[in-house]
Amino acid sequence: MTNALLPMTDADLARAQPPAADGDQAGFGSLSTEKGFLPLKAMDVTTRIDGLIAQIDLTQTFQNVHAVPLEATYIFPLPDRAAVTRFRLEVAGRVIEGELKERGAARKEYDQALKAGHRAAITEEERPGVFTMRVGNLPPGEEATVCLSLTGPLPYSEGEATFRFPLVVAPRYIPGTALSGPSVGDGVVPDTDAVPDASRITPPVLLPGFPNPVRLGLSVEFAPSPLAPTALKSSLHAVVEEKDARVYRVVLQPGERLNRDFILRFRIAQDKIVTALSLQPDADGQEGTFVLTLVPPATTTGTVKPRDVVFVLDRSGSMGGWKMVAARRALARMVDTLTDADRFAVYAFDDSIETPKPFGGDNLVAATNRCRFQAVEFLSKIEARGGTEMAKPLTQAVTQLTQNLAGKDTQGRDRILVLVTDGQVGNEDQILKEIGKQAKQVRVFTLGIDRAVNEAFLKRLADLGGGGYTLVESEERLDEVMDQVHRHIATPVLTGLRLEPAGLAFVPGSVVPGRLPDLFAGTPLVVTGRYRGAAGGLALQAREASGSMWSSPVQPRVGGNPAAASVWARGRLRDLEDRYVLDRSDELEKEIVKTSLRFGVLCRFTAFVAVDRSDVVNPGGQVHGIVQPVEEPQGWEQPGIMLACAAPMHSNSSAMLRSRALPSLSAAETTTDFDDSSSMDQLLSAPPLPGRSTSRAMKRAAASEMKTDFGPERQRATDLLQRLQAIAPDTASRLAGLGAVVEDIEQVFSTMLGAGNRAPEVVELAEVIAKIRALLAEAQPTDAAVNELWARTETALRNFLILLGGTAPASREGFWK
Amino acid sequence: METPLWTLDELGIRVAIALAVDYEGQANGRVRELPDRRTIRYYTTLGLIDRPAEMRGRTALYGTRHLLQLVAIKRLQTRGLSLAAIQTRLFGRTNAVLRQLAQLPGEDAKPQAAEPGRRERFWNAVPEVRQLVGVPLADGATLLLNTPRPLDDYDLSALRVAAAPLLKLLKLRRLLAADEGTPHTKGESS
Repeated sequence: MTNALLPMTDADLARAQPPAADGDQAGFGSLSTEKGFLPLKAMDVTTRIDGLIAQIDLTQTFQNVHAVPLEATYIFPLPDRAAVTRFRLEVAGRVIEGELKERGAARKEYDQALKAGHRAAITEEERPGVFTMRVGNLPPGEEATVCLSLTGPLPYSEGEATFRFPLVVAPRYIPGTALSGPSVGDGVVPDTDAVPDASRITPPVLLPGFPNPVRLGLSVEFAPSPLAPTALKSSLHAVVEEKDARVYRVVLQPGERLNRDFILRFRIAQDKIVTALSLQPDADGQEGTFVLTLVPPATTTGTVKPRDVVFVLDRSGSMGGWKMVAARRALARMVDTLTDADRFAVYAFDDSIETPKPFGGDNLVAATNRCRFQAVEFLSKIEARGGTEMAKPLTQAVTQLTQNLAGKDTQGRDRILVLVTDGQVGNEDQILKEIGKQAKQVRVFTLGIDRAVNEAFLKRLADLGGGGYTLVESEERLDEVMDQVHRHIATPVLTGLRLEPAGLAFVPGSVVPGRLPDLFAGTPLVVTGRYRGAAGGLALQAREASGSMWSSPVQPRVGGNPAAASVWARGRLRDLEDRYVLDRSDELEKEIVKTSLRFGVLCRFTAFVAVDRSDVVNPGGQVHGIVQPVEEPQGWEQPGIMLACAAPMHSNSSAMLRSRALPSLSAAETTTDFDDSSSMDQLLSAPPLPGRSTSRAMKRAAASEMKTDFGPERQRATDLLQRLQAIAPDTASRLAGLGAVVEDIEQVFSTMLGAGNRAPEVVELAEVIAKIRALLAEAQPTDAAVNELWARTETALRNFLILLGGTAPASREGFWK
Repeated sequence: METPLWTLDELGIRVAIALAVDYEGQANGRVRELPDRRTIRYYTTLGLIDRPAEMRGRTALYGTRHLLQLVAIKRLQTRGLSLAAIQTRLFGRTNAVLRQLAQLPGEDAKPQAAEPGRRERFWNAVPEVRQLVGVPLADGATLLLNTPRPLDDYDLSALRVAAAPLLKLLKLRRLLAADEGTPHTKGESS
């Protein structure tokens, strides 16, 4: 064997050196784009409004800018009342009509199609308002377009109709403990016991500064109708109005981001909406769908029933800013409308529940002037913070309202639960299940405050509680509806509504909503259902506020409402799905699937699948999977990304990520405000390059980079060391002493870190800080542990002083000698 | 296709080793700059790294892609990029691209067509020479190795980390030119 002494070659050296910054490297193997490498390219929403029914066509265009076949996943919202009735996939110049199938079968077909190398797409419902689109085996450089058709009713109240199209699934609080094994979806949060499909409703979130990745087009067209809209108002978007001879159209300005709901309100004269029964026979003529619009009579009697009201305020982190201000205002107004005859309670919750002074016992408190004032004062001091543990306060509220139902003082009172929230939780089913049965004995009013509200959940709660829901997306909107809000807790015009056949043989179990709500003046109720046989009328019966019976016959009008069956099926499926949450059974599941397939309306137990079998584009079906990231919701004071990752910290679910971090970093954590992520990045990254960074922490670090004089820190450390050495040598004093100095050590550490100094002596301070904190948290720290840590802290400070070029005072450890 | 799965700690060590190659501030040999669970969770929410590959009980497990993503993030950060800019570049990228950005060797990055296997131009071949390779550790210290195989990046970074105590000793004994700007050598003469 021959030995040769060779210098490292240029290639070897280059390998050992960091390569020059070269942006082009990032483009390897893909088309370069300034907008990142995201699959969703464009979204178009075309809506046609006819009276109080909206027909929506939603088009999503996906692109593959990567060098390998792609599976694009998009978690997106839809109006929760709208029925998804059609799905088409357009690829390679072909249009493939989607088929509605039982969800398991549809998923299997999609997976097999991918394995076989075919282009395919699937649409699934995760929640009434949250859906997942997957487009698989999209070859490099290709585009695919998917189209969904929806039909939905528009809510109408106080002469005003609302068209709301949600555009972003906001980050949601995910409680619970992580489940073992792989998660069922592609989102960013692993599944938990409280939210077993958390991974399906948690898309990644774009940082501010990410270029707008999706081209959004949105237009609303009004069909000529006797219900002519007036006073159109788009509350969160700038729109252009176009009019020609017959149609009236509203078009969104280009360049908008998908970061808030699109909300269009318009007025329809109240005298145009009248009590009416519309029948729409099926094609085969055997059965049909009825739509009953019931306009409650104007209040005549001034009867006011005494009320028991529990107000529940969500004060979690996502409620910060204008949302909390609006919530406090609305609640204060409602509290002020109570009288001495009423009783009430107020809860504000995040991870814990707070209540003002006079409350707190099991009993409700009489709404005297003094108690009302105390409640309002309490509300005015509530600030947003923490997680959204919603199940417990709601259970507590419902229990408080329904306890002692037979009791003398509870008889004849209205029981009302008011929930003010943005609804950003993932455990909707768990909450409904917990309060569902009791909630049937109270009336639930939900006030949703957000620009990307979880409306589906708040409506489900209100439906379950036979009450109402109001959306407030801005403080201006609250000004407009303030007078309506408190009417939800006033005495209803009609209660105990029942439908009786008067010629029309309606199917009793088919009526939607399943629990007919109480009626308030100004808010018509729409009831749908199925009937058999010939046309006929209905008789309505209810009880007036005064206690006397009210009844009214309605005569049918046949035809003219082709969307009726879809709208009914959607409502029916929602009712059945909610019932399934309360009483899970196989029969119920079968009925849900059957209803969904028969009426061609998507639900949680079915899915639309489309497969293009004409081509094999990716044999083997190996795909690169990407979940489309979504925008930060507008108007969130605390960024949702922070909340989403901070939220589970407060609950058990952090257990999944609670695997031990190495000491130095767990120490650093205690000194790093998590809300300032950039300082964490700074901590974790190499020394910043001055002038090239925009992050706050880096700027800060760059500014202080020149800092070499650590005089004040040296002085401080000297003081600390002397304080430490002056502590009496018994365990209790040392423990107390360590607790007294830990804050100061932390400040010294922070200063050093801010100056970019990460010498081992500095890092050792962090470890000591973490150890002290851990020790203080222990119930019964051992003498040995305390003494050892005291010694280590002393040594750390001494070494730190040596690092700064100072002289450490001599140790007095053996002073008794 | 079985890919190895690591706990967060194991992943962190791999990240640190991968980064040690050209990372300043590692010279003391203590593997410190590891991602903690908060950072991981934060990056996950941004889609900068994937969700844990799997949960085993309550322990999150990570794979190769997570390693590539974390190292790529750090590489871009040392270039002074903001997190939003990093998100624009990294989100949704394939392993092959990530491997490039992370400057990590591996199958994905290797061009397929080159030498291995085929010895076509055998007539040009010369007898094998076992090379003595010099690895510069610091100014004035080079490690000479008689290696049976070429060094890769992992070898280099591991060597750097392992050499740190030796370098410290050399400095302490003044066998090495003192490195300006490392304040902790000050008090050591006494």
